[in-house]
Amino acid sequence: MKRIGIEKINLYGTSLFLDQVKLAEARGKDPDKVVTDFLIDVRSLNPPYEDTVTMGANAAGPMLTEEDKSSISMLIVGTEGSVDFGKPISTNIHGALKLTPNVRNFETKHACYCGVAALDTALNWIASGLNRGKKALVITTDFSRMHLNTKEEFVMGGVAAALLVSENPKVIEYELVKKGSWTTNVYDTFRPSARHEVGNNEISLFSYIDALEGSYADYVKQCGNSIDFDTHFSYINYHTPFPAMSFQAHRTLCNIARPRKKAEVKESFQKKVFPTLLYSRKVGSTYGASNFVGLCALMESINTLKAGDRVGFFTYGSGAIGEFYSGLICPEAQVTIKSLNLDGHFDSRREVSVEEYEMIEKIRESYIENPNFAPDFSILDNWYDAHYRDRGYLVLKEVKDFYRTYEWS
Amino acid sequence: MTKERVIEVIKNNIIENLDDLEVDDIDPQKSMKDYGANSLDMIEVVSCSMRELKIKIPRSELADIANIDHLADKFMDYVDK
Repeated sequence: MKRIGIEKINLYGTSLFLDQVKLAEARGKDPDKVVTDFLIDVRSLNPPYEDTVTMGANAAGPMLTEEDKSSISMLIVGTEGSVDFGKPISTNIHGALKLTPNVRNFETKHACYCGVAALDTALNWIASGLNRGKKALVITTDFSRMHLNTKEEFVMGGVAAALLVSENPKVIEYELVKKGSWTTNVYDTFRPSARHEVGNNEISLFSYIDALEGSYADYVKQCGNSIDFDTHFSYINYHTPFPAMSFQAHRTLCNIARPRKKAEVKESFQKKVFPTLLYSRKVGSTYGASNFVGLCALMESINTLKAGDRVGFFTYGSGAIGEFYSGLICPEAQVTIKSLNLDGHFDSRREVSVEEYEMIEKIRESYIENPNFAPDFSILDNWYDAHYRDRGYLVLKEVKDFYRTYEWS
Repeated sequence: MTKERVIEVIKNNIIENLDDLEVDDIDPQKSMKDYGANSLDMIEVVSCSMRELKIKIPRSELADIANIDHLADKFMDYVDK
């Protein structure tokens, strides 16, 4: 069977961040408890001239050479934060990246599963041979809606990931025949309108664990029921609605394999899971990009990562689906990740105060379903001039009669 | 399996997962939240209790349960099957 996986990867974690401790203090909450409960240090935040289109393009743009662009004949964008109910944002991004016209493009939606749904479609297309040597560009991009003064306010965020998927993987090669799926019909968290992101957190966490158990059992079955959980995976990357959820996920699988004390689970978690959380702690909720944010974090955190190390992945999409799958680290993975300078990207973001954050969220809210607006590029002490101008980022220039115009800075 | 035994299993798992609690402190008419449990603690108590009782219930059916006594009732539905 062909080796198929990710040849190139990049993340875009927006250009602003909000400190969770300062938010907790402003809301009268215990800052230590907020950080410990969710394991988020800062959350990402978009200025009003960015959206899921710009985030996706800003993740993909820097990693693609002209040769890459000419080799792409499929573009799939996963999101639950599209800017239109009919026109897919894959078309906006296709135009912004100046890909060739002979590209199949579409958008995938399934809450936080949208990104892996897009990836899996690309992997299967290549595995089928119908790609005829061509590559797929998979992007997943999402951003939370306004949640001022709600209990959910501490698990918001947003990030985009771009993946060049091919039969020449240099980051991770997926084990396509090993995959477990589990579906149920549940209302846990959902977006019933362009403004609302609603649901029941407890139902969602319960459903997440049901989906983890169900998809992992299916994965084990696909592997011939012969897995020793403690030795099969070098690392495990769990979907992170918030990073702390990954501890509960790992505890669940550890105890299915063999009931054990919390201290033993913690030791295994620190070694196999904690390294996947480096960037989600700087982003907050990672939505559809979760497994890719975790993969980049793992490659950046573990200098001793070896070719062939097996990584288990759990993806969860509210509604709901869980999938458990795995991949093998490629020999070139660490060279690839170091070349991205992701730490530099995250460090270049501007901190916003709680007051600035509230202002930005209210401006963004006023744009929803608004047929005419032009973002103010002077806000935040001319952050556009300081960070964007002449640096080649895609931004939203204006919306006129609902037509959206984007331009590179 | 009696309901008293199911409540005992749930109580034991609550004290395993929450600090500074004794079995006798726990009133089944109260919610785990009243004893400081967060959502992840509750997931663990439910998971451990189901494992011990050898039952499997879709956890999403448990989210709206008001107190420990009601959780025991729900478990009893499955224990008897």
